[in-house]
Amino acid sequence: MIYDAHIEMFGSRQILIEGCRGLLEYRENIIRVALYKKTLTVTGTNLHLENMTEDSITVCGTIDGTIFE
Amino acid sequence: MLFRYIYGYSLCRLTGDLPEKFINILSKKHLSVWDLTASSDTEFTFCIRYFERKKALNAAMEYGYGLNVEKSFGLPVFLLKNRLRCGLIIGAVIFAVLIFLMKSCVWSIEIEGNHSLSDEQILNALSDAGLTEGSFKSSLNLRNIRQKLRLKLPGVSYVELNLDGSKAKVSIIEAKESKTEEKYPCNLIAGYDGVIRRVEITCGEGAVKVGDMVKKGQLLASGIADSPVKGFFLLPANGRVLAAHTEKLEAFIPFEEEYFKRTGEFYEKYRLKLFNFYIKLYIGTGKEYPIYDKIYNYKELTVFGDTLPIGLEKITLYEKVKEHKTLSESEALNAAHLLLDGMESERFGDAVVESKRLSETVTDKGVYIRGYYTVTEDIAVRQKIETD
Repeated sequence: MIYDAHIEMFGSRQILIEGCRGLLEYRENIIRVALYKKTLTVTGTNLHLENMTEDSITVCGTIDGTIFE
Repeated sequence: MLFRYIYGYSLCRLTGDLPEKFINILSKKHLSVWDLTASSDTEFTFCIRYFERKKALNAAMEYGYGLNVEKSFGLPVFLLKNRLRCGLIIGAVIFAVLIFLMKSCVWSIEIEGNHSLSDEQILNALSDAGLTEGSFKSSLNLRNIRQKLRLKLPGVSYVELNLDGSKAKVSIIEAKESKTEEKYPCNLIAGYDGVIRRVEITCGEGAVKVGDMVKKGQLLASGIADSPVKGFFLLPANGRVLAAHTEKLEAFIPFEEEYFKRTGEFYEKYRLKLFNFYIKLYIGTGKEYPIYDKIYNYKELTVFGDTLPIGLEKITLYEKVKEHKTLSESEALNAAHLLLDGMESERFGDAVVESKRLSETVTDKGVYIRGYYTVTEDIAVRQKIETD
């Protein structure tokens, strides 16, 4: 069981988030993901969810920024 | 991507408020989704595994979402679509298995280089060594088989064994017959009447000298030796005794000659060779001629350069008729000369022909040519010394 998120970015084209607890918002330019204690917001253009399993999400597109809230 | 194709996947369209919530529900139910695209705030499309689509549909019904499976892709879908054509699929599988089996066995053995040994003798020796038609290639130890083959075939000096697809190629070099290999006690005697020109005895006691006249059967070299230490003892007499002797060859060509001529008519029939069985591709015996030449032409099937035990054999029958031909005297003489030339080269080979005289006789039936030759050659013949 992962209690904190593990996040990997592959340049600005792909981001892998492990330890996520769900998808909060899904739009072409913003994706919000619930982590264990915080929320991660990925902003960019042409964002799309490439793969989603029980505790991981892979987002592809042109990533402009990530914000922890 | 390959796994997705093998497992199959479905493209689904999800409609409802907060579709993200449903995606979370799917992930909590251990259902993976990918290629999620938001068409609008209330409509998503995504892909899900083909066999998990029913669970997703049930979840959508449970939570009040609209979920449509738009299209499915992958191997399970292909198999389901073609389930009524199962024969085709089974056939393809059987074909693949057969190809695998055929490629993993030796189905034909090709022998080359044998002159005195027959193919059957070599095949028997190969069989004893563990290589037969139908043997698995993986179970063959070629080095071992080569060694066993050399032991089983003493007249063979070199064996080369290679696998080329499903064909085993055996190349052998037979040992040249050599007088020195003989180990039994023997004498050398004259094979012809003649005058000795040269004596080269390498083993044994020479009994003749240059210039001697010898009769057929006369002793040339003795295999019985006398030693002051050992007394009498036996040995294999060996060597060459060159002698000049006369010989006569005769060629006869009749004026009236019967021969077979192809009429130009021919008939082709085919048969399929499967392993060692033949399947006729013609009805009955096919067309037959009273007199014919039969030519077999076998073409084997190869897959990616490997020979398979399947092939097509073409049998061509050329019709022939018996014809009579009358030769003129000069034609008959020419033919007789040619025949005699052939007989000379076959009989004398490496021998030196010192002189040659020809006589021609024409009778009412044909032409005789007689050749009288003085030839110098090795006339020594072994004669085993029988011991108790």
